[in-house]
Amino acid sequence: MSSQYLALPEGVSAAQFGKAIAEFRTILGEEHVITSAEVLAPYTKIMLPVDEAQHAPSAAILPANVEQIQKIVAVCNKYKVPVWPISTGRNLGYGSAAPATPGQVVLDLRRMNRILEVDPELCTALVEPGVTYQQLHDYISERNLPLWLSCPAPSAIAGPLGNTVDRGVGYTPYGEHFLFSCGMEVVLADGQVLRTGMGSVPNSNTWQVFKWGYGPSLDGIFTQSNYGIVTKLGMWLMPAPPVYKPFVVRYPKRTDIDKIVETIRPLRIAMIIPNAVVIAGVLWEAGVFVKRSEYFEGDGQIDDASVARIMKDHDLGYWNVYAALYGSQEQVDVNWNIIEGAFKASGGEILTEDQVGDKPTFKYRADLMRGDMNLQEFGLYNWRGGGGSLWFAPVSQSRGSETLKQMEMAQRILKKHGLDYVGEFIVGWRDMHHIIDVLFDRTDPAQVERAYACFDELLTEFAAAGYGNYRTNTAFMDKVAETYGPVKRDVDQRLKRALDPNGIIAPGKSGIYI
Amino acid sequence: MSLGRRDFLKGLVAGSTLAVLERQARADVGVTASQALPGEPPLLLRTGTLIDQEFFGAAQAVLDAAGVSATESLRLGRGDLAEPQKLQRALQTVRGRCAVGVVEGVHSTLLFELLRSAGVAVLCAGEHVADANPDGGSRHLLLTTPGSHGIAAALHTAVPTAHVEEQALGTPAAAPAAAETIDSSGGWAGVTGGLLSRVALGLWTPARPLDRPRGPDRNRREPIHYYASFVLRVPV
Repeated sequence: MSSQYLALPEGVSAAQFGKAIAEFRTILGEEHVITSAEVLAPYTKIMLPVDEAQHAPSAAILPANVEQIQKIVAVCNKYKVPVWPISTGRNLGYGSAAPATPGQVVLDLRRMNRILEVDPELCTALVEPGVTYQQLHDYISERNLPLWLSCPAPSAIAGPLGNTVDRGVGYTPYGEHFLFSCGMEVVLADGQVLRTGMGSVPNSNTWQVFKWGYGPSLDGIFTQSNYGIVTKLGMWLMPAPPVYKPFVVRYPKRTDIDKIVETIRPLRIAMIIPNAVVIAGVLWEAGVFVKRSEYFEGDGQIDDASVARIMKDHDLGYWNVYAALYGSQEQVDVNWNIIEGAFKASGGEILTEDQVGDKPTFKYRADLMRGDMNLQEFGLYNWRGGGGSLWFAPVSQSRGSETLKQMEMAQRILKKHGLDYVGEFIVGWRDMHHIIDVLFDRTDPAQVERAYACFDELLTEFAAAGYGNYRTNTAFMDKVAETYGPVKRDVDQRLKRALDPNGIIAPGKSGIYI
Repeated sequence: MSLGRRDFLKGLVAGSTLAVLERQARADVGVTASQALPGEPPLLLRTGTLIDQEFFGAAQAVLDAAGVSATESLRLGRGDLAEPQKLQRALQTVRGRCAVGVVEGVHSTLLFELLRSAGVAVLCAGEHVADANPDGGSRHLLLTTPGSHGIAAALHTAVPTAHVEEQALGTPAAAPAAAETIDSSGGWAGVTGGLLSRVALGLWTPARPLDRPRGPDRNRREPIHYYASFVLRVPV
């Protein structure tokens, strides 16, 4: 390293970069341009099986408003310096705050944290990137508004804008977050500000209520992409229901996943179960509060006998289905009768909040399914220890035979590499997000190597079987992009070249470069 | 850090107060406020881990030797470490100070996320995976910055059974680590606590970072413990 910076953008000299930094300081002030290794250190923190240097930023800059971002992109174009926008940067399991390629300047939008509007009648909100779920939750609570949020597992510290533009999910009936977004403001690479949907109509008051606007609908191209910097997001909020009834259904065998999904699918498509159901595997459940080493001392994948002991000791099913009913008492009662009958017929043990009591695993899921803040899932990082985590996220049909096939494929590949199947399925309307947390010890070079090889093989084998990932971490974005084929990549690239000809916004995001 | 300043700091360990040292050091070698010497002595951030005794015992010994009297500690429980708002409040109490600490690894993700949001400088951070037996094997991944480069080598030298790797951020020092006598009686936890408190005090002379992992590859039996250590400087 010959420069004073942690890293430099590709093709940019230290002298040129220094000029860009000087101009950033003029725009933002000294304290909002970070180049020191010590303050940048938390931005370099990754959980991936690769060296930090592969994702080291050159600097971090913290604008406070759209006008500053417009000036920043002008500087970026002038010096060909790329920025990696983050809202709160809590994309844990998918790469955290560190950029996809070294030398990018992290454009940290956390200072843009205004809740611009919450309409309790239309149940909408308009927020900036730095707003966290906790902040929005507090805002709603303090005003006693009858509205619920839908948040992902890192809840309190994550933010709705970042989660939505990365197409993350939550666990309420509004759990498919992008589906429940409505209107974006985007700073383009040339500094123009685009408002999507109805937002482009002067004096419109329908930006947050009608998604499609006129002509091509553009919102989607600003998700999981690098075509612009999203600076405002409209979102729909769920009216607080009079009755909320969370429940869990437990199944004892690994192969029960088939009948679980067959039971849930018709209930979910008909919206008798309205929320994003979670089918949590035993190690996902137990891993939150149990260390692997308490049950298994071997170096390979945990064995069936140890898993069975965990289930017995902690009163868990091999699969634990979490769902909830929302609505008036009459609605909930009617739907409960349907649900209870269906799950009992499938051999599941169905338990309500009253029966489970204050069991932490249930409370955690019950909190998430009503959009309350709960960080219990961070406990998973203690399962194996050592700070390594990769989320493998293939999409499956909501069909029992498909989920069984995916689960068995994943277990086989993980076993080959000595890693555990810590998995869950999140049930959409007709799809399942199959989420596997590939947990490994980053202090163990051999395990790091295995984790990388394992993830690579998972991607390869699943793609060969026709399964694509809906989202991935920054170390594997190119590889996942390849699995979607050359035409998709070509179109992605042509859009990039048209909207950002200098490639100044997040090169490498989702495998897209100029 | 120049040799002259280092010699001067070593002299301090023998006697006078940190305040005197700081004034004289700045006058003698032109140290700026943003360099290693903090305005106030480092605070020890205790979280009740199993290694607290060894880690903070060694840290305190280094502070004592540097003449830092009345060391302050901040104690955080599991509840504080698991809740962002409590952790943020705790960080506010450390404003303008350096802090040396160790937490159970399970809390490190949330902690580091909040450090980033608070604009906290991380002078050094370690991830440590260890056998239950204090004499057993351990592995350490140390993230170092220019003021702490080279401490991985020092840890390995003091605890040869440890597997040690260094991820060095920033321009590395060219010089190899100076041969120093480090008390290794507290095992890796004690050595780490001592080294990190030297970094916090500005008594560590940066040295060439490790270019590859050192120590035995397979040196851990189950059950494991997982910790994260750090030296922070919280902005005012």
